[in-house]
Amino acid sequence: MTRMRKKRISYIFLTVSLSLYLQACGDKSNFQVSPEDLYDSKDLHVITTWFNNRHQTISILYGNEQAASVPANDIHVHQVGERYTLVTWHQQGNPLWFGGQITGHITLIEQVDINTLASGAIEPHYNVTYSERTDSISGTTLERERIDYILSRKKIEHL
Amino acid sequence: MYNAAHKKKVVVILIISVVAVWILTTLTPPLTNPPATGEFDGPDSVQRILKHACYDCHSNHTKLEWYHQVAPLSWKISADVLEARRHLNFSHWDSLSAADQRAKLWYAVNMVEQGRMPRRDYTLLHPSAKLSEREVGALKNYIVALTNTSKTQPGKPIVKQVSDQPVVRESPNGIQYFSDYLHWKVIVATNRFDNGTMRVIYGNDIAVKAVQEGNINPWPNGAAIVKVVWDAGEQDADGNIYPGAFNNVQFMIRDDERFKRTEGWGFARFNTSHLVPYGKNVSFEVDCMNCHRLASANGFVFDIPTKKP
Repeated sequence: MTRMRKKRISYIFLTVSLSLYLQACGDKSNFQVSPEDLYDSKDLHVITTWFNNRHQTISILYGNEQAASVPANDIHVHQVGERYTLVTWHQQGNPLWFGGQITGHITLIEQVDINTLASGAIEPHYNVTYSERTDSISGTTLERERIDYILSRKKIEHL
Repeated sequence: MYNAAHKKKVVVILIISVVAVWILTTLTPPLTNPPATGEFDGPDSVQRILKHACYDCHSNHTKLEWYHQVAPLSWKISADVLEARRHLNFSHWDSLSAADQRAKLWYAVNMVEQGRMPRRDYTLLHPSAKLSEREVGALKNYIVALTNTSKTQPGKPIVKQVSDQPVVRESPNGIQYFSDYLHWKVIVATNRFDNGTMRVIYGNDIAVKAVQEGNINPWPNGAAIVKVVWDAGEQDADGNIYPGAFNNVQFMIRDDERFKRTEGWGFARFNTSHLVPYGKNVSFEVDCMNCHRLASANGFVFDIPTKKP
């Protein structure tokens, strides 16, 4: 083996070793940014939030200015114009912190609007604006349950 | 003739180098192992893992080979070990409160989980220090169990009561509390089973746009992120867990000139509903940054929406 050839082999060996080492030193990137999971709440404000480890979900209840200004401990008669939007995400482990759970993809968006009927009576209207569930929430009883649930959430202790 | 002169030159240089190394080594104060005040007292299985993977740097039981004590390598090893002990020393475990011990262990487990510890330059020379998946799993199980058994005494930030004093809502680094974030968009919501809290994380328009465009390495100047933290409350019959008492609010403000020494992020935390600024002096930021280095893949922000590729 000529001296030049030996030199070349050593050079290739060193380069390959260095590249492998540098590659091994890189961060473990087993995830990527997921902008589609960011909910565009527009002008809505956070009313409260909760999580559920049985269903592996995290929820945020938003409200428009009128809904979000209802005091936490008020026995409230809902007023026309209030809008409540409940966004539910799948809960997943935070890839950057073992010990933390974080919102993943959106699974359900429900909306309740306090409307007036032609008779003048006040009526909450329930609507699912997005769902990845196959068992759709339909039927008067189920809708009624969801309306009651959403409207009975208390405002979070904020600042 | 040339060869003889050349050889002589090489021998002289070698002798000078050896003498120089000997002098430097002799003059360098040796790295010592001071007596332990109180060792980590976890289960034997966990102690075994920590001893073979962590103790050389994170305890007063550092085992040095002869070549570790030769300058200039000894300088590097000495500096690394002393710094490691400052961060976490299992030989002074008794000097930490139970809550701080748990916090240190959670951080250590996350360093291991992300493959940042033991350091690669260490495992290159000490391959036996590498942790297997089973060992990492054992550490994770231990810290989860430890946290679950101590839930009756949740670790809370130590807060000075200031009810009869005027509230100063300014962090030692000059960041003042503001409430504009209540009109910002939510980036993510999280909950932490390591410390029993739940959070809503808001971003201003610049931060939200950065997430939408994946422009987070680095985040643009002007981005601001606010994390509102509550203690996790009781669980209802359906399994829902709602926020309990307000715990703290944390700010991250992006300004790569002003906050140069902390990778361009200014940190602030305001504890309890009194919004008591956290940190005795500006050096608290370094602790914040050291922890946030774990999130370097996300521009030092832990909580943004992610998915598997």
